[in-house]
Amino acid sequence: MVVSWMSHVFQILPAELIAFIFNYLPLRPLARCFQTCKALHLLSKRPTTWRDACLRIHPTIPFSVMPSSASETFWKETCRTLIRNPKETIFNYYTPPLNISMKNARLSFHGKSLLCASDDTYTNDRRRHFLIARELSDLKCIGGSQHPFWQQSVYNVGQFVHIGSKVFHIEWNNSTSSSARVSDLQNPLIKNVLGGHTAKVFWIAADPSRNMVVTAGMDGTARVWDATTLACAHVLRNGHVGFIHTVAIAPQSFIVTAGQDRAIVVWDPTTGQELHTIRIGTGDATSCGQGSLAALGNIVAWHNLTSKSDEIVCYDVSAKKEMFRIDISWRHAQIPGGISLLIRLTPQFLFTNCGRQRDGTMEYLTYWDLGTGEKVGTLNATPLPHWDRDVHNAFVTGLVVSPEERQVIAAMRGGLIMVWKFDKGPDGQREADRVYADTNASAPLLEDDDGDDDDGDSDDSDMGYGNYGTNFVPRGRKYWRQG
Amino acid sequence: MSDTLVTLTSQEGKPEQVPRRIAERSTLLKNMLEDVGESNQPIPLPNVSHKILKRVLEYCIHHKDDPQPPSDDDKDSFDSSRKRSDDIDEWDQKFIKGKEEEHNEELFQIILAANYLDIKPLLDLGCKTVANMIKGKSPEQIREMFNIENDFTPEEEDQIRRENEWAADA
Repeated sequence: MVVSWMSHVFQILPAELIAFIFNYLPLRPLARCFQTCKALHLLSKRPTTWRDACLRIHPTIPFSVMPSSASETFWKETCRTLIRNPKETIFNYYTPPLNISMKNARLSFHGKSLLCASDDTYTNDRRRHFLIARELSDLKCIGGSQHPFWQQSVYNVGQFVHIGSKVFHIEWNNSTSSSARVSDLQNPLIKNVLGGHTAKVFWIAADPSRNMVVTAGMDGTARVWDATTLACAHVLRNGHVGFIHTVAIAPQSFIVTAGQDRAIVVWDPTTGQELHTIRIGTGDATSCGQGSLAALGNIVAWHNLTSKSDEIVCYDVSAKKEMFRIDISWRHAQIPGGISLLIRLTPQFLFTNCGRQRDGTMEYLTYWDLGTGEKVGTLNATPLPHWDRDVHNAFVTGLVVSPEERQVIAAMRGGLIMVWKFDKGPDGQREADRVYADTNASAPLLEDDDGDDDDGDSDDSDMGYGNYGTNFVPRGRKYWRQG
Repeated sequence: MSDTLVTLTSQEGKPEQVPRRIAERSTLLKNMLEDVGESNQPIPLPNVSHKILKRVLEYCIHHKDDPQPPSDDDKDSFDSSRKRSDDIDEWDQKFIKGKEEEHNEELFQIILAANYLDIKPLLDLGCKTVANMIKGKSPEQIREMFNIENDFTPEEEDQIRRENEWAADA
């Protein structure tokens, strides 16, 4: 198509070639070109002009999922949205089918693969699960509730983790009993029970770098499992009075449990011995909720909610003293729907889903510097024009932070999975770049169909490692270990 | 075989002889020569003037030893890597500058010829050069440089300026 009405020098070039030139222009000179004459201004009416501009601002945004017939206004609006939010870079996102509400989503991330389970808006049961993503850059549903894995293995999924193709999950048999099970994504018929708990299992955590899974429950014990052989390595008992609500593992380091008795107990996974008990006081309200306990390096962080305070406590396990408290009483009342405050740690930051502030400002995720306890910033998502979801009221219900601290993945109520990428903190180069020397190892997920890595086969041990690399030293300290 | 001479005939009908290796910098000519095989027939290039053809060949001769750019069928698909326009090497800069007085006219002709002959690096070079010329200039300066007539009414101009205001902070 030759735009014959072009004036003077630009007259020579067809619109396609002018678009090619525009590809090398930042937004401001581009806008100035449009202001020169009618012919060039007409080019600003071409949807592709703005689509290409969007791609220049944000080369990784997955435009493949955007409507192909999008109008010029749409792309222009997207472009505008992108330049308005230069810091919080949405790396990728996924909008599941409308009936997946993500009201109570669980995410599991290992290697490069992401699994998500969520509930169904209509039936409200959590049977409607779906799987996504072999790669975060390519988020897509690779198996919905129809996937044999879910059909075979699940009545209702609670917390779950995966290492390679093995999925460790809590299966609720009915409202009074639950057990920990293992399924294999590549071979859904294989299903084992992690037996031993005498009552409900409440929470499950994993450290893929050591091929270790920990379950904890109502019987007041936590059990350490070898993810390959599914043997119970240790039973962590006599640390708590009453239930254990939740458990977390510091990669390459200790295990920590939080219980009904308002105690937080640190365990040595190699011996199964209790190392240290932190009393978080007697109070009138709940203590640490499920999912709001996190551990990394020598740090334990938990949510302390009483009638007087609403705060996150960071505790240094090796020094046996509190590091700082983060007051989050500014957040708007409680998180709706009984969702726990989620805490995730990276070597530099502490992430939470604090949510709406009292003044109504929505913050999907807030993060603090783990060294100082200072608030660093927030991650938000300005809705892109074509999102049909109510993201203004969305709330983060599932959260994982990728080990190399480059990506934060959140499942949001309202039906959206977002991946944020932030390479650098406010003061430039982050230590994390050096901390994780080798994070390229990825776990195969639904890739090889040869089925030779059935469970119990020890030569698949490479699949679980590499998540944190062997040089994992959070914040430059020696990683904590019982002397 | 690659040392055989190929005859190219420009718009004006003037023949120009070049080694086949040089001509093959152009994907168009390369495909053509492969299709025809051994032939002494001159290849007519009715879209390219003799002056521009000589300029293009000058570029091809200088870059004769460059690796062939990856043949991309996805000419339409956008290269997702960030487009830079400040990575032009010295010779190329000098080459594309050409003679001062007819600079613009010639530059655009070279872009057209590069597009027609399908010489990707030259097309890139031309487009980057134009982009660099546009950068940092006001609409008025852009008009002046490319001899563009302002055909907006003052009202239209004002409206379009406001329409594009948001991009100014980019």
